[in-house]
Amino acid sequence: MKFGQAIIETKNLSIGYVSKEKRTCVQKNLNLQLRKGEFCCLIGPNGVGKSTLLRTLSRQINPLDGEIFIKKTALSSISSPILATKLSLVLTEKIQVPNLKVRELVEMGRFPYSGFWGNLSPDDNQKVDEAIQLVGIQELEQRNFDELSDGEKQKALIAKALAQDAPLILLDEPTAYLDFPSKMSILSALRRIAHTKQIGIILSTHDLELALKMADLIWLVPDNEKVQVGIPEDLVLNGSIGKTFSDEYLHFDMETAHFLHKAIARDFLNVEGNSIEMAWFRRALLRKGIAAETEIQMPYKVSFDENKLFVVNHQSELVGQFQEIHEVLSWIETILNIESEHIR
Amino acid sequence: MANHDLSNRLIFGILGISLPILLILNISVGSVSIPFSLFLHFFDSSLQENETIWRHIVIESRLPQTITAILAGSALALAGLQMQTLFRNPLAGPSILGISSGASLGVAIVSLGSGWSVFFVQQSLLKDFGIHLAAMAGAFGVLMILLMAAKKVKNNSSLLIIGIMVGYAVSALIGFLNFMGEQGQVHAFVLWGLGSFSNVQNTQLAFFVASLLPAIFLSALLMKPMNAMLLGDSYAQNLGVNLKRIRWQLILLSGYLTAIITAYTGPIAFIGLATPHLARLMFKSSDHKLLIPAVILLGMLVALSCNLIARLPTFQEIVPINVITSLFGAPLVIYLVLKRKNIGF
Repeated sequence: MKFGQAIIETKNLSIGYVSKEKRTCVQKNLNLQLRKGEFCCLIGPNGVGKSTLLRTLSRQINPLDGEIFIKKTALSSISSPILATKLSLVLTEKIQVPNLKVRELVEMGRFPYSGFWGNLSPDDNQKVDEAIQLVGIQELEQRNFDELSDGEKQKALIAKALAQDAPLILLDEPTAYLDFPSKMSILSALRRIAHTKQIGIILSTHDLELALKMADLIWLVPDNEKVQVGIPEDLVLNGSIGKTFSDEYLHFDMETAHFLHKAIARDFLNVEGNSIEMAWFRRALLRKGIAAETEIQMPYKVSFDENKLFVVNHQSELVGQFQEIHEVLSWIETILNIESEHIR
Repeated sequence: MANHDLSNRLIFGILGISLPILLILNISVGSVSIPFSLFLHFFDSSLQENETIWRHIVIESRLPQTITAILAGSALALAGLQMQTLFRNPLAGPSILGISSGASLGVAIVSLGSGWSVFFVQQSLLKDFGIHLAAMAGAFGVLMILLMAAKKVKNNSSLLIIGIMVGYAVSALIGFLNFMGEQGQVHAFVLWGLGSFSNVQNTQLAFFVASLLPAIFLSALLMKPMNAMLLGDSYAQNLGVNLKRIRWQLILLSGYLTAIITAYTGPIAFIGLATPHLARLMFKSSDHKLLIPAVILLGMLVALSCNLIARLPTFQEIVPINVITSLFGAPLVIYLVLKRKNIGF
């Protein structure tokens, strides 16, 4: 087969919650597929059913309709001990066990394989070592789990999921509450693992820009609309990403793949040059909500000259020279205030 | 790892050595002091007169009391560990879930109630077992309520709250019976409620041992799924644990152990709740492969120590066991918790 074997597949899947008499459907007719070695990010605004989808795929809740197949076998027909070898989880719920060594936690991943008393064979121990190495937490092995940082905890849980030796790992928001370097390091570790071990990984996340950068495949769950599947670049180009996440304050900038504040002040200056200094100057402008006009000639123009100074011109007449960006900004703000007073 | 194993073995070694010492002390210390030399020729046919009396005391009183203490200590500690793991709550224990209150209610109905219940017990063929049967019936009654609740609610904290509430309701009934009872009966009931390891007669000992050992053995079989339960329901399920089954097994076993012990010794406070914490603090581990044997051994030692203190000549065998367990045990645990700063289930 051209694209490799599907690890998980859904057929006309409807997901949601069933309480006493109410059936709340959050998504229906889902036909999704993940293949071997694919690192997939599940993104979407809050409350669209990302967690519900993950919980349904991992059989924590039942589908409202349709069927899920893991390697061509219907999920509903797999026994729990067998399912444990097909699918492993990293969840948002906190683990609070005192005196649990990281290695002991990873060893728990061998639960479906170990004997009646839970003793590990040499093969089990080797898998545990391998998982710890793949995630790169060798130096944490003998530390207590409850003494780790949030990022280290996530890595330990990922190692546990890896030790479970399943062809599919589902992670519910593993990057939430982490600092940026930890987010990066976890996502790149997961991508590397998906590629080298040829397993499928699905994770839900709110870190949109990182997901677009790292994922092989995106499952985009928009509000009240059908799930969109594609590689990040295609979803950006066809406008799905922008449409799903933009609101009255933010818009998705296709050139930089960043979410930017919409400019609220009117355009009144041109910005010239593509040096690093000017790029950072543009960022500062955006934060202030000032749009730099590129096409139409405006009265004011800012550029960066060979003397390493920010230069402001008013109709080609020099009106100011500044060393640092904050000086330019406060000058611009003064001008803005004067102009708005004129209008008043 | 190797270092860890070594220190654990050392602790087990120390505990193992203390066990025979405490056993001998429990048998020899009391209002009548029994010299160690007696044990050297215990089974000789030619004994002096006072030695014959000593031997009689040992066989009829000290030995059954010591065996009761050993079994009660290990069974209650085990039940406590099972409940703490099941409810993932460091406060869970045999007396929290209302099971021992249920046993008390059974005894209260028999010993305080008048009319049909007393008549029924006195007419029953198992007159000797009357109180024990009543305690067991009460304990299992509460256990049944808990099992039905466990079927309804999926959440372990909710189940814990239901257990505590059942305990309150049952205690209220006991209070009512106390209020209505005659003075003599109330005194007898209060005495039972203070707990004692000396209620089990030699004639009942075989039944007592036979009803506990299988449950203790079965408990040891659950160490693997109990370890997985530490991670929480979702992770345990993902590892292939049959949550429903392990929940039933733990509720049944811990309830059964508590019911039997409470029936024979009265409600014993502290041991079930505190021994698992002692074990975790000593071994610095939450691994049930270590904790289950540890709480069995520690439970024995704690019960034997408390029994020994209660029997010291200064106390003249009149201080009830519950006074000792709580009075000496509580400060010890508070000290350990303050020293370690954190405690878990």
